[in-house]
Amino acid sequence: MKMKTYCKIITALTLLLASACEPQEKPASYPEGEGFFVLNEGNYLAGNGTISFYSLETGEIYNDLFGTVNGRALGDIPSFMAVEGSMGYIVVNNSGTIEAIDMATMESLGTVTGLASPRQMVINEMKGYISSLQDGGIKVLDLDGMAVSDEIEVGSSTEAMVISAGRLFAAHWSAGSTITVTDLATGNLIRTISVGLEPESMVLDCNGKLWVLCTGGWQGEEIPRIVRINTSTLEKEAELQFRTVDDNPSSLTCNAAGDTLYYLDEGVRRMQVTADALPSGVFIPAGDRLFYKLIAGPRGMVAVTDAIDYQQKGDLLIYNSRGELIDTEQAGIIPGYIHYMKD
Amino acid sequence: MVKRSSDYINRASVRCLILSATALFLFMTVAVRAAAQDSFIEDTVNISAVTVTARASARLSPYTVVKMDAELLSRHEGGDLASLLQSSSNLFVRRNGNQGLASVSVRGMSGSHTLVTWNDLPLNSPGNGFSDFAIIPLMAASTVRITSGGSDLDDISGYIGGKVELATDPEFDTGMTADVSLGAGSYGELVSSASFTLGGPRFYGRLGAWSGKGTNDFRFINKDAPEGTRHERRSNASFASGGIMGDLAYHKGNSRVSTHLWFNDADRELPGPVTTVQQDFGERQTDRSFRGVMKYSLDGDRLTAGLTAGGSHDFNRYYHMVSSNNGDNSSSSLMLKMRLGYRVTGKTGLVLNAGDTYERASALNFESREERNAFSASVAVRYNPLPRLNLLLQVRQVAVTGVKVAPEFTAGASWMLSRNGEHLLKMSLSRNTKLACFNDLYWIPGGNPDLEPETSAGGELSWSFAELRPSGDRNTLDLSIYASRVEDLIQWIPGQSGLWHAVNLRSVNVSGLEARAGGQRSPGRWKLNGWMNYAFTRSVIAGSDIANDRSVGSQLIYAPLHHANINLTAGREWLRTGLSAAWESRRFTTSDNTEWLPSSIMTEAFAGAIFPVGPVKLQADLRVNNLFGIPVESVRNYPMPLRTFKIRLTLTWSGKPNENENVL
Repeated sequence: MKMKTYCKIITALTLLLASACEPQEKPASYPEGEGFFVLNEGNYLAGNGTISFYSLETGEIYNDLFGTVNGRALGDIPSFMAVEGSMGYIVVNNSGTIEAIDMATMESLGTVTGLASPRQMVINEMKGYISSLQDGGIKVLDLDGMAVSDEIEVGSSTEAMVISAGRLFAAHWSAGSTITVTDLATGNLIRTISVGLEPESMVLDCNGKLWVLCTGGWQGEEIPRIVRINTSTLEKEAELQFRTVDDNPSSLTCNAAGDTLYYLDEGVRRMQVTADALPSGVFIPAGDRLFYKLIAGPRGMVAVTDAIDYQQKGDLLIYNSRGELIDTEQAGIIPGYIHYMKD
Repeated sequence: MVKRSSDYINRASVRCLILSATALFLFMTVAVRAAAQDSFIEDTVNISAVTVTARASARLSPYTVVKMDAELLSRHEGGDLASLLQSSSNLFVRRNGNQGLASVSVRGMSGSHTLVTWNDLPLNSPGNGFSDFAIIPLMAASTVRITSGGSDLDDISGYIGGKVELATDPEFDTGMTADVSLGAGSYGELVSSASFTLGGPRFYGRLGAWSGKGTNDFRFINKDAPEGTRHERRSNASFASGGIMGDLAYHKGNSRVSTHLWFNDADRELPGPVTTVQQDFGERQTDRSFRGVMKYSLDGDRLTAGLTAGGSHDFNRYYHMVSSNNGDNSSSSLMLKMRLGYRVTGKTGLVLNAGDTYERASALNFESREERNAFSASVAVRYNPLPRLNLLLQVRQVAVTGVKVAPEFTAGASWMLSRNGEHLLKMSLSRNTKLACFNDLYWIPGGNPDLEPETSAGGELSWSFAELRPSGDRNTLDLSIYASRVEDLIQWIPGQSGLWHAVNLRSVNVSGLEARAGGQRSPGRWKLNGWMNYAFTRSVIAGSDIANDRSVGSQLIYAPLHHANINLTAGREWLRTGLSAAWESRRFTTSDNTEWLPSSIMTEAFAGAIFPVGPVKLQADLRVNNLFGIPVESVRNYPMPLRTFKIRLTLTWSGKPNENENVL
């Protein structure tokens, strides 16, 4: 009897020991469900960019997803993420790479290297269009083969892009003042639209109208403005000016319904797409925060990042539809671009 | 270049990368700083009197001053000044890769807080405030004097970290000497130098020239490569440099006049950071400098005087693959400085310093050519109330157009605990300032002309032991503790506008201990030297005007908490050999201390032989850097080479052979 007891104890201990020695199962990197992906740019030249996920289901943030799964850093300044089906494409600006990842596992499925300062990427019919801060061309990425297959020459560096009705609208942000419109079927340049100095961000609304935020130049050369463009006629329909050259608006975005615009200007401001003037009031005052990037989430929610001193981990701030702060989570270093994941 | 995804599919197992929160280190208000290798002490330790009118000797100074003499520098021939400081002092050298910008920081502050002078002429760039040690050859100095902290107020304007003074001191009555040196090293490195020296009874002249180049395409380990960890070769990292330096001096009686000229030229490719892939932006920079100094000094019984006039012109050209990023930067400075010392009584002396410096700089991102004139005057009183007690009080006022600078002061004492001067106790209190550099003031966008000077206030306490035995053996030990508070530290941050700008933002508490210990023995025909340094440096952000700043309480980035090095040398008639190792604890790379570079150790070994043939001496040296081939990054993503080798042959002709010459 005694011997049997000893054996049981030894067996149990052995099993316990064995289980302890086994490599642990890979933990789920983040929960399923809707939430916000946050690209943390990391310190310039440090190559410590990361990706975080804020779950609207659990109200928690999950940091460094890519590094945890892949055992290496994401790179230097991840600046944008495009999603197509179960795949995500992270543009890593200063590394000159695009990481293709499985959105469910964050596993790297391929890396495109050698791109010259890629900034953003839009996808159309399994082709990715990549803007560049240094190149005068927009690279065309074949998503099946993960290889650059073509290039659209647009003359100068590009930043934000939007595709509408088979046309690629590309903003010439750095020292530029125009938007070029390219026919994706032929690759031909259709028109160059003058909008205002340094078109920084742009978005399509529910009416198919293109809204473009122009900062007015980093030296305050002209008064910033938001311009509305008819994507059919390619004509400017409206031009809403800010107050003075000292205003510094940025991060124009739109809610999922496409009927409300949001942007940063001394806090978060919002306006209906039917408005004919910029809002005079601030929806969410910045207070002592330094708002960096913005996205409109579901149910009127707003997510904003605060990069603090740009040398430490920043915050992701979640506000409800009334502009009340409902959660603050610590993200990675310089939390920047935010992508809303529906489910 | 685009690579197919299949090449990069990485099935690596999950690895936990835990970035733990900042470790809370013990705050040490009382600590010890020990040490002093033989080469750091002054030749005479039996100091029975204190000279009150001349500049205080390094050891008797109430604050920490150490001196690297020609003997130590000569041991490091074939190496560079940055690595010498790293391996033989308590300074921390931050290198942007091999041959990249190398700045020297003292007591936890940044390289821009370290004043670097050459024959009293400041070498710091008016633009960014740094001095690049990567392009200062060892040949540029015959002595190096290091002051920790900003207590020395003899200069025209201040610094709050420390001071590194390079000097080419004339050596009269040494005869005629000529040498030629050729060397080769790993990764295509080729170096050469030649010098001619004439040391007469009254006249001294020296002319030296040097050059070096290398492909610098060393191997390193990229841990973040998409394919996983792998060996790579550095690209776009070649360098070429050269220079000429001349010194002329004449002395008669107590008077001496000298002139020093230095032309330096360096052309370096600038490799990009190693992140997910090695980057190459085609960056390159050329640095060309011309410096000249004229000095006059009088060392009388009661009266000492000095007059120094100098100027420099630095030109920097930066190239980038995007031509719009290219830029020319240039700066010039002129300096006039006088010093007058008078021994009032046997116990009291007065020293008056006054000087003016004019700086101007142009850069692509300056609106126009920017200028600044700074005038300062200081008065120092040295008083010996007792034979073994030396007191110092010095006050300086700097006047700069448009900037309000508070008066600075240093008060200190050194007290010989033993009659023979072996034991010495020193203490000092000081308040000093550093003016903002031009980039902080005028860079567009973000420069802030309204910046206040950074200030530091604190003190230190030291004990020094130096023993010189009749046999020639030496033992030294120096211990120091210090604490200071730095206010109005200038930082660049983005405001609500999103544009980065410079502001006086943070305060920093700096405290620590430094130790130096050394010894020399001569068993038989051998001569053995050993010395070590240790620095514990706590430089912690104490206050910040940034909302929600989690960096408060954290160590400053790139300020290692621990720095230690050890050096051992041995030699006899024709042989000399040595080993050194420098260790640094982890260096934080984010202000909230959540990321860091791991601790690192750099080892170096050398062996050499000297073959004298009449007046000619042939010397052959082999040097191995990073002996154990350990991957090291001084700055994140800028790797240093693994193991490298360097050989050097030097032919020296001397018209006045020294029979007592010792190889060490």
